[in-house]
Amino acid sequence: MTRIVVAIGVICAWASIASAHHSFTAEFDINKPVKLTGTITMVRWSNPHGWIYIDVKGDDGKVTNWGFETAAANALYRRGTRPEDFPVGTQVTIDGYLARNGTPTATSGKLMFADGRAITIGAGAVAGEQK
Amino acid sequence: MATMKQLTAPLLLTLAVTTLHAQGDAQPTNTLPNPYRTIANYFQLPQGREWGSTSAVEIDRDGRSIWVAERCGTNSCAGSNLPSILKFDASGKLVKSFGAGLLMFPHGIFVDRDGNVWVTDGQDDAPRPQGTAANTLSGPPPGATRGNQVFKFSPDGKLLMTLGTRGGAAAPGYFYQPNDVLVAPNGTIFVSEGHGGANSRILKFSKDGKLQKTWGTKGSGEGQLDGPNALAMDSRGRLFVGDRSNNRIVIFDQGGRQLDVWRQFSRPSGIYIDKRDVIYVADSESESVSRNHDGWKRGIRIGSARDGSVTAFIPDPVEKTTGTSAAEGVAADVDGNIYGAEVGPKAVKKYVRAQTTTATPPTRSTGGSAIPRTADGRPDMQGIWQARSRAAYGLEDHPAHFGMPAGRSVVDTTTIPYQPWAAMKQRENFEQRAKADPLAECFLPGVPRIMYMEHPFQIFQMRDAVAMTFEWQQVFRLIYTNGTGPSTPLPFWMGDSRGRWDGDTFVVDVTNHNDRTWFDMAGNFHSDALRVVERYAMLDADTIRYQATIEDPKVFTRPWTISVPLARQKEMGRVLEYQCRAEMEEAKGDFKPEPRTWYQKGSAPVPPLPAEPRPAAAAATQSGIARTSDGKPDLSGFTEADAGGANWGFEPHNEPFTPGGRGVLVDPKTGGLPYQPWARAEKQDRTTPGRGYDDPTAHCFAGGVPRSLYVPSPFYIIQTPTYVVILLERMSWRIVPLDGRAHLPDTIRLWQGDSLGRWDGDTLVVETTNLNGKTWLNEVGDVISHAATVVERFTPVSANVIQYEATVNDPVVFTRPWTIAMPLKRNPKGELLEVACLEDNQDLLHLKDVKERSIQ
Repeated sequence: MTRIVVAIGVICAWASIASAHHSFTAEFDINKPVKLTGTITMVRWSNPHGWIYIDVKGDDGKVTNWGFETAAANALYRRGTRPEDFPVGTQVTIDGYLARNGTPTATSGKLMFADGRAITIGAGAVAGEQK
Repeated sequence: MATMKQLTAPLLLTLAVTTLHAQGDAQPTNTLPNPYRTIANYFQLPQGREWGSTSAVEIDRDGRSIWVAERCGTNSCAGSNLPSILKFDASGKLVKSFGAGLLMFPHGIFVDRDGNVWVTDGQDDAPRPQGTAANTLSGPPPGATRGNQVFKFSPDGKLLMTLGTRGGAAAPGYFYQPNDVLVAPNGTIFVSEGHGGANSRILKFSKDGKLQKTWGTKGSGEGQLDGPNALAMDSRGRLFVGDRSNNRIVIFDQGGRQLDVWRQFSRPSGIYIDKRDVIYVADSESESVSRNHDGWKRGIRIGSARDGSVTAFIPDPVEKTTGTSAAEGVAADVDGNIYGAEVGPKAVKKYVRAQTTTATPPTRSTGGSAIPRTADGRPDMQGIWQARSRAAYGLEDHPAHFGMPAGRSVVDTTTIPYQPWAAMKQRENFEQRAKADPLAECFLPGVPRIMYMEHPFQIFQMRDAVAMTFEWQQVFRLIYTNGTGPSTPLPFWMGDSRGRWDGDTFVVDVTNHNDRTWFDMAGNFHSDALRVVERYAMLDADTIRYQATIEDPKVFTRPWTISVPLARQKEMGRVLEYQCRAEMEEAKGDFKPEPRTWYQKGSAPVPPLPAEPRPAAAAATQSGIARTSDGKPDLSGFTEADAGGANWGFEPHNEPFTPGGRGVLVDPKTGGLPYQPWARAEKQDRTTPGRGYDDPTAHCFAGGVPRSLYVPSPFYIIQTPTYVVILLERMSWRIVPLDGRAHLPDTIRLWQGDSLGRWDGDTLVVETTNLNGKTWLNEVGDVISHAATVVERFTPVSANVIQYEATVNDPVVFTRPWTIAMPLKRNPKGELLEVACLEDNQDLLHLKDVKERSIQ
């Protein structure tokens, strides 16, 4: 498997990285934060969560397609995010946590564009969640 | 020219057109204004009867009633015993019908000054093998026993006079293919005949039916006619003949002398001239049937019979087609409303001037069967309904297949007008239906399919919204009736529904469809360009005529309409649940029983725990809260729980990777949830990663009570005097009757339980039992069982805040009852969207991986 850059370090506490519909701790591993840069290949504006897929080139040059889970489509929409905010082919950096099942899958926190703009795409800040 | 410039533009246009028609070769009159709004499906046929082709429409002597001669549900009355001559009152209600078994092919209609009704029968029943060149005949082929006659009826339907021989006769014995009939004020009768045959002429009869004169031969020259389809007369007594196949109107005096030729009204299938000499001309063939009139648009042209100007144009909404489309017959009532009778689309449409915002004021039904009405006078459709149709298996005529009983077409076009590629795609869908049908995965069925799925549903009406709650997968529809349009561009499985009342008909415009739903089990489908216009008309207290007009230019050649009766369901008392996906996963073993919490048939009832003194509830402020007309607090509208992180624990919590929570447990105040030991251990176990798969909401199943209210998704409360209904954005619902009924039998267990409500002062108290015990209380695995009784209290404390409490008494899981509390916040501007959780639930596969690894 492609070696990936796993950024272990200061991950700011996402106050509300949470799912609307399933246990995050069951699906993703808080001890495996990840931050990857790649090119968007597909955006699934869907429920119960959206997905953004990016092609990531590993140290060995091999390209792996990673799926990052986002908040639910409705939650993104109510935050002002739109499907067209993520054109296929755009280079982005996404941080998140790895899935426990070992696939190239992660939950997401922030998505950063090359020009420095950032959008919180992860689950959270939806109705009912409070710190 | 200086003078011309001072003229207004419309007058210039009129002058231009007038000049053009005098020149013989008119330019197409396609770009005139259309000040009319179309009302499809205005006329109501008896239950079970569908519209066939119509070309004959006329106004009664009273100026407002409408006569239609209709071809018995298809395009011919041969073999039918339906009455083909129908009279409707101005509200569209059928008030009279006659003519059964008499006419083959009613084509033209006229009401004379005495109110008598004249109808031409334009075909015969002679055997006509395919390919026979009937068009060369000047009379009927041998063997005809019916048809080719003109009938005169009294206003009550008594046959007063018959012109012509049964089955027809060649000239001079008239008729063959009589198209239209007209009676002049002095009683002289005119008939035009020739509809593809070798004849094309006008026949003139005396008042008592004696032939006086004929004129015209088939051809395109002067004095010739080709398929004279329509007759009309202006106030000067000029006879207007719609010389259809010559793309012209020929004007004669009553002796047959040609006075003028007009081409500016396009290819005339129907002509109507009102008392003020406004002329209405229907073109149903240009650029479709007729390829020699390309460049002219089909539709209804309106103008002046005095000077020949064309001033308005109602275009056929169908752009490209090959057959007859739009109105063939046309008439206009004294108020200027236009009626178009259509052969291809099998419909009679009404056109009203658009500035008349309420063209059809709410009309109370006069006589006939009364329909219930709401306090504001609308038809009251509330109650439980069920489609009485095989439409869910196949919209078109279809034979039986395994799991699919045979059925008749419910489509106005009999077959669905697919584009060629789409017809192939539908056949592929049909072959693959066992797996390709979205319902095979229990996805949301979409509109209109959900309406005729043979699963009951309940309708609730408020002023600003109408709600429908369906048994199937607990789907609901929330139809805003507040004058708004779609608030997002997003596609949804169930679309975006906006409703309005058109008289007594509830009209719903459904947009924002995705391209994944089907119309039926037979694989009939659409694209995301779909638009559905639904019409709900109560025919009597127990019947709704449901119609859905389908527009999708990517898939179909023209719009088409589904028509299905909905019958009141009187046996059930409430809509139950069919949680398709949960039942499927349980049957497959993907969601396994938990005997400690699930209800099992035959298990002895568990007595409830002794009640604890209820903690002091928030008191309603008596002012500042909204109230309904019956004085109760108004809880209705878009609402979200300020849930304090309850979906991740009821006690204060602040663990990493989980939303924090302020704690919502108000009783007991210390010690957390009062678990029995086994249940505390089970709750602990559920927090391990391997158990994440077991949370029913990870499978997209319903949240249950009380969890559905504090998951992070909004809901919408519908409130009527007898029901409170909670529509949950995650596509599930809770119905709370307030009518004092008893709970369901113990053996019926539901994901959302059986809720009964009552008002205690300003507090709505809801008691829920009959839970199935399959749900979790939250993502951290708090336990609830089938034995629980949940009592919820909804107390409005200010205009937009409702204090919410839920007390859970579960003798199987806990040692004493406990209570959580949180505010619910109303947002008058909020709109519910749709969470179709099953559409992309990849998480469940990941959680399954984790579970299987932890088991190994």
